[in-house]
Amino acid sequence: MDKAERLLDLVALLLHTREPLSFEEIQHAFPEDYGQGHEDAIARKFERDKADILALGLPLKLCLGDEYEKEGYLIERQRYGQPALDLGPEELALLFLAGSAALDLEGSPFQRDLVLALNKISLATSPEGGARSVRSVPLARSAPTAGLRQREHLEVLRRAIAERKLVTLTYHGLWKDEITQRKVHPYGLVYRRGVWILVAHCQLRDAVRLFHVDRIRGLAVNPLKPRSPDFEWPAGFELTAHVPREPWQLRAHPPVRAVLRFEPPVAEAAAAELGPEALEVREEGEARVVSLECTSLEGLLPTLLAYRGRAVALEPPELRALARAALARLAGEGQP
Amino acid sequence: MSDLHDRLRTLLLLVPYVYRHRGVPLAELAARLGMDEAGLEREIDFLLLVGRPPFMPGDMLDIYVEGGRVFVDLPQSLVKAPRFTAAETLALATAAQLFVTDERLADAATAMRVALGKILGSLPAETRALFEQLSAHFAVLPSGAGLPLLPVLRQALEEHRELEILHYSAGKGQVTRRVVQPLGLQLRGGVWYLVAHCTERDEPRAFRVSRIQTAALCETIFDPPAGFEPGAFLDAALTLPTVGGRRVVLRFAAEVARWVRERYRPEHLQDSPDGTLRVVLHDVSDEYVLTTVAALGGRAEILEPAELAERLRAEAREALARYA
Repeated sequence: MDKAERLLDLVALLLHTREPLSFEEIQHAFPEDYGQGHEDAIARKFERDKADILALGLPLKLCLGDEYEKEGYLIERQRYGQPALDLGPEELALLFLAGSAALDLEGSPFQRDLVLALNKISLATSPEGGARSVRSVPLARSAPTAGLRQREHLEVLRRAIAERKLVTLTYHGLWKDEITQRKVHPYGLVYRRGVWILVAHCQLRDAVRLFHVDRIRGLAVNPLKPRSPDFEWPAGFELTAHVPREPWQLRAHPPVRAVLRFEPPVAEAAAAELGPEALEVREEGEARVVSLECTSLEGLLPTLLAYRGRAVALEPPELRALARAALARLAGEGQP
Repeated sequence: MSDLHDRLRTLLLLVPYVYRHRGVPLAELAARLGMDEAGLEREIDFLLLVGRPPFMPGDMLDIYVEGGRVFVDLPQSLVKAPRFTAAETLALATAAQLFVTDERLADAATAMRVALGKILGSLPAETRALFEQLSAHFAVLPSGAGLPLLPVLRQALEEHRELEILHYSAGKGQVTRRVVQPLGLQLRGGVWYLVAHCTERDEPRAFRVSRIQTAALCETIFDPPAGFEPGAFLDAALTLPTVGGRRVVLRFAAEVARWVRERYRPEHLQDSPDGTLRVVLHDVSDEYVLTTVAALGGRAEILEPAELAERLRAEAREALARYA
């Protein structure tokens, strides 16, 4: 019998039974699968099947047997099904909006889980409450945005993070155009601006380093002792503290206050785009003056220049000098 | 989670889903489960083999497609979806971070936290413990611009109401007012897009949410088109054409060549022996070209068309004057 078929039959049997079934009874029910061959091989096969059922998150229980209860296995019906969820229309709509947007996050490592979770929500809520919002969100995507390799890497990393296994990366460096091998302890994954970033402790540098998952060329999880972790998570580790959100937040120099002035028609859009990370957004008539805490003026320059003639750097003088030099090159006055 | 596990989890959800929604159209079920219709039909055929020992006719799952709709008669105890796993809860919680970390969305953030709290409350203790252990290790950072318009967009999407928006179009370089029928809210490269049918042009369009200055709900209710996939539409809309329209040629310095390679498809690229990289584009707006080249501050130039190169130089001279 096909393994998927056997596991589903086993789930149906153990979920339906009122009293625990002994291994002998299960063997008898599946004569082809557990009834033939060497005893050890059969026992191992049954162990693997039990592990699969547990890995699916199903409440498989071994009853040890006493005067009230028979010895054997069953799936606890009370703990199997998702209980009803009392979610209001707004809560449902928000979960589905966030969920459907997250499905498209450049090959999210949780894509399949998210599809299943959103369906479970719709089954666990009454069909009247918020059915419209649930219906209005299609979950299928015909063309996934990320490459197959990146999705595989995210999947492997996700498992390695949960199981705390050492990983060997073949990595195409961002700054130096070279491919290196690194042994790392994967601490976590962060999604930022269309990129999944692996936060990991690099053994070579003995420090926390960031790796763009789309630049990982190869990935191998330590095959030794698959069931025991290779490292411990550092106490109090804060994942997002290691990931700068914007290019000007790269730690290139001590923080300085950068002040930019935006003119219409981009003033509103610039305030919306930079506002959440800004120290201050000031209105000057139609214009907006945005102050940022900046640790990389070089990182801020492309953002400033992208607003073209409608943005000007007011402070600090170093940023004004960078902008002047760049504009001179663009004007054809310097070296191209 | 292996392919086998993913498949089994899907099948254990499929049966209760059909049990609850008897006669669900095959196409709708496929879309909900993220499968294609042929694949779904294969799985339904497979499920006919599933049952309980001793596998008498009454012990088998009875699930079938009739007139393009799916029915189940004998669900064999599979009437409820299994509980949320730790990974599924994690998937929801990371997705929720797209909204809850935006300070300006206090109400939405509260609603989202409450919703997650209810889901967490329904988990068995060991699943919840596993979720809590793992959740510190996965994060989704919201986009820089955030989503201050989320409440009104959510309502329009949910109730299929038309929206009147004031939108800054970078392509035109001006603010326009238009009435749109919202079809989806999508995130690409950290940027939120509203995919909506533009009533004036009578075609779907993608709008950067950060460039929508105001959005007002209209009374008009519309029928969303069947089978339209906002995500697929947006992907196509963000893909640059490779033929037709005006030809634009850009040259990028060697130091930014690698950055460029990751942003354009190989069909657009032409290598040069000196390490510089040419990008040939078709039918792209002036604003797109000027913004892309300007942002690189001299590490890129416009080779064709000449008048656009001249416009970039003129703009730069004008901007430079403000630093005098």
